[in-house]
Amino acid sequence: MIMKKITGLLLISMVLFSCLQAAGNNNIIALTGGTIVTVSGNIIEKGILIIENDMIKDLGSEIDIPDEAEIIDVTGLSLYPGMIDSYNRLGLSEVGMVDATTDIHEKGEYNPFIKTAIAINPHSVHIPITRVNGITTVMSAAAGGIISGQTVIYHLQGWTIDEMVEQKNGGLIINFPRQPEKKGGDSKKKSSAAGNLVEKKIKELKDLLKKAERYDEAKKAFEQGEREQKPVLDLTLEALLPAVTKQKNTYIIVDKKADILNAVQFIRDVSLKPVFVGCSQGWRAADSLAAHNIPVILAPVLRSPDDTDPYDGIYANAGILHKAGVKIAFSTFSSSDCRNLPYQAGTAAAFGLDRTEALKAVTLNSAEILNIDDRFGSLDKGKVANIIITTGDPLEMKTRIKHVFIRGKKVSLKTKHTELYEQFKGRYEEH
Amino acid sequence: MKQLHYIVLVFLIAGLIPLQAQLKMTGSGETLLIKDGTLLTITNGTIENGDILIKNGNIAAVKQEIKAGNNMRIIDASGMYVMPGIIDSHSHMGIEGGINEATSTVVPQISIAEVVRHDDLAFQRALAGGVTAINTLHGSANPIGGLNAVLKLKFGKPAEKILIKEAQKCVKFALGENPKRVHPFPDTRMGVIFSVRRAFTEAKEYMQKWEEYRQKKKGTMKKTAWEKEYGLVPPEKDYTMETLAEVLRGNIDVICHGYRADEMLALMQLADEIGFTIGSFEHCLEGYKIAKELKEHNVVASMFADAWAYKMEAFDAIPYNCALLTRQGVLVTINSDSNERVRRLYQEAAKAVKYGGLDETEALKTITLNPARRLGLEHRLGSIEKGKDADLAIFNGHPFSVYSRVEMTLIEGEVYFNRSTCPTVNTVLSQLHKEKEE
Repeated sequence: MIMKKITGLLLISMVLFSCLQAAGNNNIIALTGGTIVTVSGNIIEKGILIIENDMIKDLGSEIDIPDEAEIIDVTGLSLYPGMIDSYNRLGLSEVGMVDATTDIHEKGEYNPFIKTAIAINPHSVHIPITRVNGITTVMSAAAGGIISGQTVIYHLQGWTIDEMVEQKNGGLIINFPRQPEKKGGDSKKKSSAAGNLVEKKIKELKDLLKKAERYDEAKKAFEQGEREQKPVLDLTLEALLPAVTKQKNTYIIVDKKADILNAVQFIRDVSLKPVFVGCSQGWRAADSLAAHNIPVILAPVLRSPDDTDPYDGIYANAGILHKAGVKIAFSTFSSSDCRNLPYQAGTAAAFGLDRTEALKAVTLNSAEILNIDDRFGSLDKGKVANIIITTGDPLEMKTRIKHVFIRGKKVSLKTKHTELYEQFKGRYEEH
Repeated sequence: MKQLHYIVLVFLIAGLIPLQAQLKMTGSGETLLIKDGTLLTITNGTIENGDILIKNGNIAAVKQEIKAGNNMRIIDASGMYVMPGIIDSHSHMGIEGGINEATSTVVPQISIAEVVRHDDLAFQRALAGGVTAINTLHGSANPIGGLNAVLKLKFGKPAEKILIKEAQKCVKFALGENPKRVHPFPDTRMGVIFSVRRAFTEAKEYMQKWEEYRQKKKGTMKKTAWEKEYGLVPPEKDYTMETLAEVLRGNIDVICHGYRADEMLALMQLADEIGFTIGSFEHCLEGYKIAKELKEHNVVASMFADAWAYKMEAFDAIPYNCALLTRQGVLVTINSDSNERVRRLYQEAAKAVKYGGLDETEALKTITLNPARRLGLEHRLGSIEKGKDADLAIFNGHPFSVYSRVEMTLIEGEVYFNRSTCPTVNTVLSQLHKEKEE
């Protein structure tokens, strides 16, 4: 009788104990009193945002705060979604001119099997330096050749790449064959020969993609018993399958008007889910881009336009594209300057882009283009808690970032730069 | 028919209504009055709704209220911010035919002023970013390179008209990775410093020889037996040595490209030993490590706001460099060294406020009064003050806001950039649209 009671008590206390454990494992944070800029909807003044584990549990102006929540008072500050740098080389290079630290360009022309994710250094000094200015997620991409490989989308916090990735094998990278710049001294023969070479390369690319489509058909036919012989394994064609079956995006890098128009023609003849990357002269082909519903990840705004373009050619580009109905996102294309992503967007707003759209183009638009908007890009219930807390508009140079949350966890704001600053301030404080 | 005329008139007038703020100049006359702008004077605080009177290219008055007279051109700057024209203390614009005489390690005698071109399109793009004057330099391929040229960006005027001849003369030196890469010797930092030592040692010998010759000619020094018999032979004239002699006399200072703290210290020690003046270290990205020594030697630190990691010697650069050095009493300028960055130096200076909390006026000085001082031109440039050159940049918002842009740039009272009249993406698109319809 007593044994039964003791066993009963033991069982009950075990259950209670494990319940308490479970409650203790829940990471619940309430950010209170700040201005919540959701991006997807209205701004919530003096709002409350609840983080539970890695998710945004709830947000609003009058919501309940769970008893076990750690309360962080952010009165006077603003909350924004963590920003997204849609196209860069973060983690692929430490010192630009030192080849040994750089893994961006593989040799060869058609390398769809190259996975950018392999070369990302999770301990790159540039990762903390990027996230302290409010960028929480990036898409990093190899370059080189005509088909460079596959991108990787990752968040800027974690011990290994697998702890950081959102999409380990992202989309295909196509460095679209470029029309050469017409030089004044070139003979007609020379420029037409150069033009023919570009046509030849585009055709070669098209043929390879068509081959991948046929490879896919052959594989499917074999699996369904309609084909006797198994198609020979081809790693190049295998790597193209996600692109030609439209499961993943294909990022097509084009900058000038002539190349943009060539690429628009190209995608009509192949089976791809295209996103154009670059488009610095997109304003000269805005209607074409809009008509074909092609989203655009813009190359850095802070670049010089061609001598033959007006002085604000690249500055005004984003505004024109947005007005024409093109979905845009900003990017840095950089390994060490990613922290300046917000000023790419802000400068575009100085030259005609609507300010709300500029913010969207480093948050929600970026998430939509990268197909991660179900979980990222805005402050909404049910999305992942990638949140930045700022002293104001993050697109302004003077704004400071006070806290950064990635997947619900507060990340350290210590970087190589803050450490050197503290160290050497100390030299002068001694005296 | 009259109805059609009215319709056309309505459309014409509608077309004149600006969609965004546009700066217009009305009236005519020699004198120019800029009215009702927020004036960032640099030396006298901010004047809200202030006026600037300009006569003969100079600022004649800066006041809250200046009465508009007859015979005056008037710019209505209401809602606008006016700051002194930006000065880029490290540029390579406007130079014809290459910036590096890399065939020899020591070439102080060559002069950038002799190869200035007036038609560099980069000037126009810089004017659109509020820049009115630049210090354009020899490159960094040589331990000792050539002489600088300080220019007003009067795009289109002949080269002789844009040179500021009274500006500080500087010889470009370079330490670190760049000169190492170019010549068979030096191949190390040690070799770079030795190249400088050797050049100055030879220069001192040269000056000695010439001094002796002059004294012997005057009779204040004894001639040798040979000279008594056969006559005095003047030493060889050497332009390299002549220029270094001018540096040793203090008439030319050294403008030295350097990144690492240790190499800058080495040059400062050499300068103490030999007796030359380092006017500024350019880039100076590790300057924060030696603020004390830079201050003691009165060297200007001329840097980027936050560019780094493109080469090994830039790997310890921190964006707090400007704020830390300024607080330790070092004069800091923020420069571009780039035809792209020169267009947005006002954004770069704003970063000095973000990183280290530098006072806004101190941050504005890094692109106005401080480079003016470095170039010996603070009596003429770098602030909105009576008597100074009327070099001004008019923005549609505070220059430190990312949403601001330059609407107009003036040099000595003349408009060299006006967004409302120059070609822009919008005007090009309208033109293309019109052509399509025809």
